[in-house]
Amino acid sequence: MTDAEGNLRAGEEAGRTGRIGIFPSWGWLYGAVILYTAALIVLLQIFTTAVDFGAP
Amino acid sequence: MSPLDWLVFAVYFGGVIWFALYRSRTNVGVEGFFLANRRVPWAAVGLSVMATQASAITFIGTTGQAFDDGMRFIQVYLPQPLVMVLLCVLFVPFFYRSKVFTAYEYLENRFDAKTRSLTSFLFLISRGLAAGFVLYAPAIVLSVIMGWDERVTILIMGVVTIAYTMAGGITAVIWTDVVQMLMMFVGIAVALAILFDTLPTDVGVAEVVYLGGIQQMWSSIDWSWDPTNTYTIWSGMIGGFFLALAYFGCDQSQVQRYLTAESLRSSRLSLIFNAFLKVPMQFAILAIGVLLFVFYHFERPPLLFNSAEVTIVHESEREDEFRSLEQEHRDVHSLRRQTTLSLLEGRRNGENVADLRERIGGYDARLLGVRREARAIVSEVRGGSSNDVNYVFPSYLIQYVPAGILGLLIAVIFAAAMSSLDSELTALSSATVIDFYRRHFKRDASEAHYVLVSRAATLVWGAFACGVALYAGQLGSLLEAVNQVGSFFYGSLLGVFLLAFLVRRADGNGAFWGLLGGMLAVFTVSITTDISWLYYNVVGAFAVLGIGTVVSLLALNGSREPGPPPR
Repeated sequence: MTDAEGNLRAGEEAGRTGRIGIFPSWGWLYGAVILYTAALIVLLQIFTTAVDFGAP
Repeated sequence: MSPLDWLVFAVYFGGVIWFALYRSRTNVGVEGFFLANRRVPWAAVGLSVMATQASAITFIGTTGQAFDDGMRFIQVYLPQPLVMVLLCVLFVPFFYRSKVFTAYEYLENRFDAKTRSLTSFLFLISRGLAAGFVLYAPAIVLSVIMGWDERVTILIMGVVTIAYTMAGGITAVIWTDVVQMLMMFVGIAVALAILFDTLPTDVGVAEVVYLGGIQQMWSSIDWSWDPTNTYTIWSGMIGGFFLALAYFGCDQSQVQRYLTAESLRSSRLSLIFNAFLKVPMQFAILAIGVLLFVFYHFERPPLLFNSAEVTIVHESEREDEFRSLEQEHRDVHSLRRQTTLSLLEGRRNGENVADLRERIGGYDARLLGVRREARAIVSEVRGGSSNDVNYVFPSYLIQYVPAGILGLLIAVIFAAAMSSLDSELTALSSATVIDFYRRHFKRDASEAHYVLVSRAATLVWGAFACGVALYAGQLGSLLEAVNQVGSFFYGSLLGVFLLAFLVRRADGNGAFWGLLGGMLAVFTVSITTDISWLYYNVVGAFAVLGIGTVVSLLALNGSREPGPPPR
């Protein structure tokens, strides 16, 4: 088993140990961060387009 | 600054140092000095991680960059939340379980002593010189703006930071960072509020957004595929991802922070805290720059913001040429101001303002051209010029911010510089003592002895940083070279850690030669292609992984013995 696998396993074990605030596990929290990043990109793209008053 | 500003400034610094020393009074031994006995709450660690990254140049340089170039810089920060997740999953559990003091200590456990010593040595050289730059860069800006000798600014920041870092170790550093980071949040909010307050009364949020939008200053995302351009979504998400992973995952100044957390859960939470806050904070700092851009539609800015350079050119034989540019700048700005007011009036009355918008675009282009010509004159007179955008925000503060608040905002800029320097000092000290002194020179000394040596190492590195900063003006191109070497090294260092985590059969020789090969690959790419420096980290990491794996497998086939088991 590599360190990465060991750490993933440790992470999974930690994820099973209880809630992280409003999230049921670490996996849910990580998923929320990934969605948050995607949302940031989408929002910034909308912002970029919406306030571009230089375009003809 | 007024007496009230000085009072605010002094109370702030006195309070921060007292608080830091108060929090560090219960430190025990060398683990207390370097890792705060691993009992710092996650929110404090998270704020310290953030403060370490946010240097004074981030605060004043980023606003200046947005003033000149808009919001595009935000793209470099967008992958950071994803990096934090990868750190939580892969790096943090490993560092925490290993119970190491430095990131490089693990490399001896996993590979061998020479890999640990080489990576730690490269870190010391690169960060030692960078610590001087962390002091020097804001010091020259603050000196010009406040009219102080730059040596005074360097010594105030340097001596105070060395003193509290020596006395309280990492605990003092973290709790100082906490206060300083909170002050930065307050500073950003106050700066935005004051900027709105100093705009003409009939200019509100809608007008600010509109005027910035005419010049596409709010444009935050660029989808074009151009690897030579640093500010595209691809450069940010790919190059920025590897840069952030290298910085947060392999740089001792950051790794040391999350090793101080009271549990693995706390370490992870501190990084997730950053994942959510970092991008909005950078957005707010960049927005200050765009607001300044709009503000100077109504108030006349100087042709160049660095008054010291203007004085030098005024006393040179190019004075007449420069003064004629200043006159042209005044005239064009006056036309732009009138046209801007007409534009806003016309827009309020529902008129067609396309023509006015086009004229403003033309004036903006002319003002940019005049500033470029002025910078060229400064470069010719001085044989090189400073980055004028770094002076935009401090220059605004001095001229338009009321007494009391000015002292607070100047203290925030000092705080940003000091919160980066203190982290550098404690990281340099830990790598020196743990990776070299305790490893190679004195293995079995008492805790008190190591704490004493650690304090001495902090003092020596602090003095070295001050020395570099004091002579940085004469080092010019050397400092640029140091930064260049740093970018060669970062991706390759990340490659060594990825090799350790991901390739079971990798050995010490593979890591050692992979590191050297990775740095050579980055150097080759940098002189043979025009790709953005952000991609150097990708090249370095993959080159180390490739070369390290091949060398390890060849050695394994030769000896037919398995590599050391991963820990």
